[in-house]
Amino acid sequence: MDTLSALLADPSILRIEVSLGPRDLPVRRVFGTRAFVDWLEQRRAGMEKSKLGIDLSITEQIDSLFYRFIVGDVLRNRWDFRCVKIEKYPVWEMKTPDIRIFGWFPEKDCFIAVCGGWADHIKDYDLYRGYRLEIRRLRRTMNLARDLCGRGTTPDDVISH
Amino acid sequence: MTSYLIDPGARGVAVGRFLDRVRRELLDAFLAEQRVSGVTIEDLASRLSKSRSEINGYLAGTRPLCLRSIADLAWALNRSVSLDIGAEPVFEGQNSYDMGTSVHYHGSYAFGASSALTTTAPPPPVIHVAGASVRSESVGA
Repeated sequence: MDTLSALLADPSILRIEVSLGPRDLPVRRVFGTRAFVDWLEQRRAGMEKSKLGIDLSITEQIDSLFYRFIVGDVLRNRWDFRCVKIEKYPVWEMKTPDIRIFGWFPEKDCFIAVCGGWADHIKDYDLYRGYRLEIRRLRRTMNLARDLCGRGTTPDDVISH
Repeated sequence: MTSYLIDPGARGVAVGRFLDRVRRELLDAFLAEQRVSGVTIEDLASRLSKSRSEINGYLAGTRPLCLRSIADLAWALNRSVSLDIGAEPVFEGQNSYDMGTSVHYHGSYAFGASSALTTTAPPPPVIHVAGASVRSESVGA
């Protein structure tokens, strides 16, 4: 797969949207694999609450994070997202208080979410390497051109402000 | 292309984004103050007689924020808090969540949905954590 449009046209990739306010315009894009969207749907259908006891449901946390990303708000490196490991084709982590979402940026301002999980579980069992390998395996399976695997490891490489 | 709309409902959108915004205002205020004066989480913890992890939890959103915590943190950052609960003006042709004039898929898959088509809930109330200079001006006035 050589071009971004071919990647995004793949039926296994879905566009993820959030409700936009009357004066909001989408300036960044989020996509997800079907497995990730199924995982999101399970969180929503189960009306899952925070394990930390904060007053935001899991769906509300994810909605707020992706809303800020999509409308072009500032996302704080380390607080809202981070590069999991400095490597040639890095995997990125998007963060809410309860949830971690792993994926990559095939181009600036375009995030493809692949896996999601509870932050405490991921930290307790140190699952970062497993998620990284899962995403690398997926990109290999999709036979992606190297340009679509995202090279940058700094916030400015993947998000414009 | 197939799309999926994350839809916590009109209330969830308004409340969730408001709470997220309050946390972000506090975090932004802290990071701005850190750049200017070099204040650290330890400094805030010391000023408020709380643990570092508690302050970190407030800023990271992993601890519930009550009004007192917000006021405490703003005070420790030498800032003031203003709250504005304003009526949202409605414009002709504007999408409306309640009227269902926009497209909502409630978590189901939809085909061909435009990214510009969604929403509608009015923006939530806004809390600003203003800098010390603003506070001193208003006191002087």
